[in-house]
Amino acid sequence: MQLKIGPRAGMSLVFPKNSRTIAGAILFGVVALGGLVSLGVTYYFTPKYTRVGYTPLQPVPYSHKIHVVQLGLDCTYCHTNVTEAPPANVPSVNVCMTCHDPLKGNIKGDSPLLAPVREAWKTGQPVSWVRVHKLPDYVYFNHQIHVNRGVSCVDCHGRVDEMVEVRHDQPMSMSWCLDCHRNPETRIRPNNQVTNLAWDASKDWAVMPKYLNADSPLEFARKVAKQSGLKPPTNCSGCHR
Amino acid sequence: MASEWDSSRRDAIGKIASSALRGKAWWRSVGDYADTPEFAKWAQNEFPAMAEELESRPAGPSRRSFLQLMAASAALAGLGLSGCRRPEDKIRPYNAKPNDMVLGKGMYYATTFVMAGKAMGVLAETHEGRPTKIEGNPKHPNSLGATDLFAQASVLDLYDPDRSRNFLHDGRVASRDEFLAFAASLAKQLKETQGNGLAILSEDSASPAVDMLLEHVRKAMPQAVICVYEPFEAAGPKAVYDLSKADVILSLDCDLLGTEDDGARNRQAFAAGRTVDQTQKMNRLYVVEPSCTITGASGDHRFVCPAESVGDWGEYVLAALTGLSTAGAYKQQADAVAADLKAAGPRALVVAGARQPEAVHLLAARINSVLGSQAVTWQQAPAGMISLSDLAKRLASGQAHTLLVLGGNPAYNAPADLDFVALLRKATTSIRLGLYEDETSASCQWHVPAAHYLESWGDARSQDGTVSAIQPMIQPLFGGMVAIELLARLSGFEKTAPYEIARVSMGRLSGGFTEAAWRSYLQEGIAATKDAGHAKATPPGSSRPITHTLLNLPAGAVTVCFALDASVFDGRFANNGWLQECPDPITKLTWDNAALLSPATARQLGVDTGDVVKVELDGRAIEAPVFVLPGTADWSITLPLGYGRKAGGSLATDAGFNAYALRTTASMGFGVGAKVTKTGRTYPLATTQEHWAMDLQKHLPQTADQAAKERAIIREGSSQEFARDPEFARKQGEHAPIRLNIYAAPKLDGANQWGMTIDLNACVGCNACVMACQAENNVPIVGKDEVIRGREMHWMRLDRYFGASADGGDVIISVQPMACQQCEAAPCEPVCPVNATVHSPEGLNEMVYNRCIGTRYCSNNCPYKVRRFNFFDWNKGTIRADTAPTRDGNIQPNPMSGFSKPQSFQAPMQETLKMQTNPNVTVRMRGVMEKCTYCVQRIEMAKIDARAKVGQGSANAVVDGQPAVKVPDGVIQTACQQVCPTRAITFGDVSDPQSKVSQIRTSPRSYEVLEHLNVKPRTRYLARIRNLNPKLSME
Repeated sequence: MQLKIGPRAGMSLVFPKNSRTIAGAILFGVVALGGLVSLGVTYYFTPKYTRVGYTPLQPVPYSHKIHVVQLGLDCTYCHTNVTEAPPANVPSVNVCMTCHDPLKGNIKGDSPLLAPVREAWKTGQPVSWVRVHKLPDYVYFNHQIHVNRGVSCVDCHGRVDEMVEVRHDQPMSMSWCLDCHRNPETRIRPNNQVTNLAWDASKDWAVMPKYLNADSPLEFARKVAKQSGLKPPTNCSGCHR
Repeated sequence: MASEWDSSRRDAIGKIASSALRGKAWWRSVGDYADTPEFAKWAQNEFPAMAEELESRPAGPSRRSFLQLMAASAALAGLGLSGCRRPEDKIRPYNAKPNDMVLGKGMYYATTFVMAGKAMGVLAETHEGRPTKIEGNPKHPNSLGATDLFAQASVLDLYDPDRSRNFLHDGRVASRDEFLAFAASLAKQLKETQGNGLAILSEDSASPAVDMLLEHVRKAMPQAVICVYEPFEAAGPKAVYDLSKADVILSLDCDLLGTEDDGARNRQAFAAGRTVDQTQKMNRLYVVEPSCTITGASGDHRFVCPAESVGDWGEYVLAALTGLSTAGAYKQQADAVAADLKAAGPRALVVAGARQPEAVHLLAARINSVLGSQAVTWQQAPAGMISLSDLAKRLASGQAHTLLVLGGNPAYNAPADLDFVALLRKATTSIRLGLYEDETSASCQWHVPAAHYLESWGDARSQDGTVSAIQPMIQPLFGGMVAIELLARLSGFEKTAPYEIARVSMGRLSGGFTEAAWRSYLQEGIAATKDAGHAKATPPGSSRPITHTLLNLPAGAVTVCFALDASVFDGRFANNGWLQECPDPITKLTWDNAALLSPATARQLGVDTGDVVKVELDGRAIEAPVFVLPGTADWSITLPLGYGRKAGGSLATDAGFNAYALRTTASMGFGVGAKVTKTGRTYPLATTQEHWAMDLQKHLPQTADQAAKERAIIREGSSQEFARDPEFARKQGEHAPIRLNIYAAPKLDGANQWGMTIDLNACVGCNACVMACQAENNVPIVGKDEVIRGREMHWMRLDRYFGASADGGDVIISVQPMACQQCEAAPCEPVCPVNATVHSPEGLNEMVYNRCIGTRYCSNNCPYKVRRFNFFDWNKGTIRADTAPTRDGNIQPNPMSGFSKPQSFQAPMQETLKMQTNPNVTVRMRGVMEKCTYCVQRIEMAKIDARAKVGQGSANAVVDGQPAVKVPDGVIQTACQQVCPTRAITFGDVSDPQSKVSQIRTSPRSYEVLEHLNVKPRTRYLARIRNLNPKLSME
């Protein structure tokens, strides 16, 4: 059999007329899908999405807002270890019972919301709080050093003082940690303001005593960093051991 | 490898046998000496047996099923995204947190570790009530802040899932109440009969509280008899040595730096006498021994001598000292030693080993009194005790019918001729208190689970009368009972609670109890008043004639020497996986014992390492695998005790062979006239002596001189050499001509620059650092199969080298601790494709587990061979003997090991074992590389403490013109440094010229291992000096 070769012969015998469109569509589709997948992964698989906003239901609806804003308790009243140890401990039941024990302070001593606390006190079985902030096991975060060097609770935990239920506020990813470890001055505040979560540097600096004769919080932080040899680790074993 | 009798290996054994050793500097094993092709192949492979047998693993999914599972879970993840929700985690705080507890920081409590009557004050580190690590108590004379390998490993015993959990009556589980009811009725009956027929057999607990109760027993039940038995202790008054008062020491077969040490006291005093850089002088140790011990390895002169002739050796010395003329085999050496001892006068000391008969002990005492030695004192043996043979007689005749066995394991370790199992069965009533359901429990009516010392109240007395407290860290995990409670209940003592008894005992000691004194006793760990209970005794036998007779042994007769094992001691630690896997300091054997034979004798008998021989002595016979060990006496066979258990935990059972089966009352130390025959069978031995070899250049073509210099890994010289040229060590190696490097220099701008020195002149090779590292850094064990494959995980290893002696004697032995050298120009770093090993600004070579993908390139490129790879999830399972079928019921033992009963790795890990892990160190997973990081967790903790203390104030130092926070010198101790009784390891800031480590680095003896590679290691070694007697040296 002989093939008839005309003016439109050649590869057009192999490829249909709309092949250019199909190829373009496929190429576009692959690029678009890939882009979407990457976008999806960057958004949905990162701690910004998976962690921030996590607000589990706690056995006791403990409100930081009431205790901190209304009653004026300092963070370290309950989280006693935070200045001297790696973990900021969740308070033991006897701390709650200093006020809520029906036989002692008797504040809300019969509230049904506090039943698990009274139960724990009676039985010796601790309250099972649900963990909100959790880092991977190979990360050794240390509260002691951050609090003593002037990093406020609010920088990592957000405005816990305004939270009725504790919420995961910041992504706590490694790049998020490194942002601050590379530029520590942006987060340093006077030591006595560390547990003052409402502190607003820009407003409060004007009305407060000038620390280190600094005109601005940033200048203060730079001076502190210089005199105290502040150099947060950015090498691996600073956090991974 | 075992039964191969290739010609080069045979030649090597011949050469070693004929002592024609000169010209070959240092070698690791017979195979290394011979340079057999097998050895070269083994040594050049980084991981000799590769992972291709992954699919034959009994536990865990195979590679194929793993991929299938992964595919399935990936599909599921795509469908439901079910994996995206993280699991809900619970925080369960204390109900009432103890006031002085800081969560997240370890708490340290003083307590006491007692082993075979030797007390060592320790501090137990606890995390939220879990003891995780043992450190030394600086206030206790036997510890002074250091510990030994047994104390380090004892914390694992606490969590051993095989420990006894139940009261047993005739093998049936009984309740605690049932036993207490029985004990009460027995106590009543014993009181009525004044203890008629009662015998108490106790291990040596060195406890004033136990002594007090035994005294009470004697008073309330005068007819009772008491026996204290330790399998490896000389009878009679006990010699106490103070090596700090001795300049010249002669050891007559005494492992005084090893298994016969008092805690770590002798090692400390010995090493303190060898600080040449400061004092310019050293003590001198002569060791006469039939087999290799770490004491022999540490000796300046080592004389290999059959056990039965050690007494002759001593007689030659005594003769030379007293001016008698002698002639014979040991004359020349003994004369030189005697002259040296005489010159040292009161600062000389002769010690006799527990293996030697009474005559040799009397001889040593005589020599010491001739010399007027001030380094030895004597303590009276406790009065009113009967011997074990006496007890056996009473049990056999029925005179004693009610037996109380407190600890120990007589059914296993009593002399074989007593047939103690039958005697135990003969007793009408027998109660046994023990940590494990072992051989003795099986033959007793009642078994009572004992509490571990970290769960107990009690006290202990050290040889100088210091009384230290034993206090519990944790409630008994398995409901165990303490010996003092059992004794108190049976003897009708006024108090039965262990806490109360400990208080009474402490009050009795200090002449009245005050709460304040008790509190301070618990806090400090030691009592303010010493116990004068063991009054000083006069040296024994000073008036008795010495009746040592020369033996005429028939040709071919072999002397059997029994020895305590460096890992499992007398068998009490046989179920401790850490100790089982800890390589013996000399043979480097793990998980087994072996019959040690000299190369010449092995050749005569036609056996090699791994061949099973039959050893017959006085009508008893055992079979044991041979290990050819240079430096042992010819026609002697050394049998380490402590293995071949028949019960007592899954690791203990059937590991190794039981040498106690040959040991009789007549041959407690050694037995002469044994017959050794080849059986023709072989047995696999897991020795690490050829693993992680560094000196591979020797397989490349090069000149002999070049090779010797490059291989100067271990450097030592004589005291004469040192006096001539203090820098001799530097000249032994090849100097790196230009400090140029192909690797980019890391930026070293940290405030502290960490470095380490290891003084080979102090190190005695006791393995304590290996155990301390294991406990501190969550280093897993891998089991015998995997050790054979070269996969042991120890971050710190002790390399043992043989060399030629300068006095013309047998081989000398040198030991070198080796861990990551933290090279500044680290070859491992550039080859990592994922930056999982990088340099810190403080000079640490960091290992980032969460980045590692397991290419093992770093390990391949490491010149020191200190990186360890997790071939499996060691931390997700437990090494067990295969008594039960594994999860998939498909047991496939390693074909290389040929076990009759394979070990297996069973998932999941026992819950109790997880409790031991250090919370400050990542538990590594499968596929991850790991190595020493100078205990980076301790460094970071100390840095954080120093920085938190500075806070926002002024920094405590200036580095490069910038304020910086420095950790003061001495604050950080690495785990290996802290445990080291000889203080061989120093760690600190090498950028600070005043720091201790910097000072030590300036020593003329300091050198870098493999210096010519120019990798700039941060760990430096100080060369060892042998303080040779010029009269004996061939120089």
